[in-house]
Amino acid sequence: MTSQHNQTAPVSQNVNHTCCNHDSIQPVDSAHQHANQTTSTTVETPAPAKVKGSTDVDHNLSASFQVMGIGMLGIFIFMAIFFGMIKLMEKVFPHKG
Amino acid sequence: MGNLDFASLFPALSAFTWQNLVMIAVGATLIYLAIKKEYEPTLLLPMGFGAILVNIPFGSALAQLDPSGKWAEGALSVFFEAGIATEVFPLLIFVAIGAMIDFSPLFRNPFLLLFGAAAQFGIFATIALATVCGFDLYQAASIGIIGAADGPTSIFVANKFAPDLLGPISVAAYSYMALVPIIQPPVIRAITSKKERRIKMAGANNSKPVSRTTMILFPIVVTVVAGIIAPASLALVGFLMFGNLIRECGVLNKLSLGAQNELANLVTILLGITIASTMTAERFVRLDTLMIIGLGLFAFVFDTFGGVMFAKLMNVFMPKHMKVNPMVGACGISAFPMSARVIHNMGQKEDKTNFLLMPAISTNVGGQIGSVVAGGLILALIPLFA
Repeated sequence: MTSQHNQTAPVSQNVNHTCCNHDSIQPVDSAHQHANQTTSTTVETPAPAKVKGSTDVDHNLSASFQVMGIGMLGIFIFMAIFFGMIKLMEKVFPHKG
Repeated sequence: MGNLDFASLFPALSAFTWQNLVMIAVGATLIYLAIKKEYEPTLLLPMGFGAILVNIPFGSALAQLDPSGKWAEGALSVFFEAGIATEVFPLLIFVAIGAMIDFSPLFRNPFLLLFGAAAQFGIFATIALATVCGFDLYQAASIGIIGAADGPTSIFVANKFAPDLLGPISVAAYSYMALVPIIQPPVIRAITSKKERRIKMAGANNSKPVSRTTMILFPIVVTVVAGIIAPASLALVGFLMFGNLIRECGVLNKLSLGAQNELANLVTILLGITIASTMTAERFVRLDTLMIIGLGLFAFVFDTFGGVMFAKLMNVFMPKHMKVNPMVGACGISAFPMSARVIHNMGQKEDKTNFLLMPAISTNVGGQIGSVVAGGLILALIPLFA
């Protein structure tokens, strides 16, 4: 969960450029590039960090059912509270007119 | 001069892959759907154009060479860092949406709030199915939240739990929201009888006035209650309710209009094109994407199923004069006001004298609250079980 705050731009461009002239933005010399492919540096702006969870399907499925039970119950409880609040507010602050 | 060949003259052209071309076709399709079919054009058009923008090799939208020869972030990467990674864009959209929502229909029929809960069932059913498909629980939750039928909530949750899936999840969420008139009717017809679809909800068509104090207090109280019960939902609920408070307070009309128009428009443009920065070929042209699109449809279908079935269940216990038209349960998804309109039209098709618009709108507003609450609960629950 902590990694989510470290995410960076969604850029993932592999560009071979170690041996090229950087004085200006020029097309890369392909022959030169091929010759140096093995030594070229991959400039990669990291993709967004992934929040990693368990990959155990059984565990995830059983957890998802628990989340379903608690989640649906939670939403109904929220809505029931809001329902009660609306009724209460209507009683305490009735429309005058 | 000997080194000048095709690749060096046209590096972008020579670096094109079939995946890039697929993504450009996807972008063009989104633009087509936005313009020709008017499917959520405010989001799909920027996303479509952005998809083209980021799939041209060596394009400077994502990364560019600075004069010193170093690679620096491009404009879209900067937007992503500033607006999506920090969650600022989705939250600003919530302020705008809050300023657009009128909760008064809900106050006239508060029991319809419960359908806004039942129709979130698709979210959780999809989470379960996604785990079976091999996604981990964080990814599954991000896919399931497509069923919230609420773009900003989907973006907010996906950005927290599975930022690598943000592109396909956003595309699926907004596409299916636009396709509600196509998705919901067959599902509703399949699980309801003609007799049920003709049920009239006379009691729900009242137009009793609501006091101003109540309208002002509601967003404040909801924020406090949501914050106390589920603090993880506070950003989502709080920004939505802040927008609504601006609307209802009556002394910030200019700000309210500004949030509904200028803020919504500006952030929508930035949100759409920035999300597109995640739609690069290497991250989008994958089997996962197709699975997410399929699971998103599943979520919408089971949201509709959940809402309708809950209405049918309620009817078992309701006296005859209080029966609910089960179609109204389907409006518990958040796609506002599309879903309400669809249900009203379906009711009219069954019986010209049946006016379901008011209860449908009330339920739909309840669905907007329900989807945000569902998003908040998922943010709180998933880390506990993953």
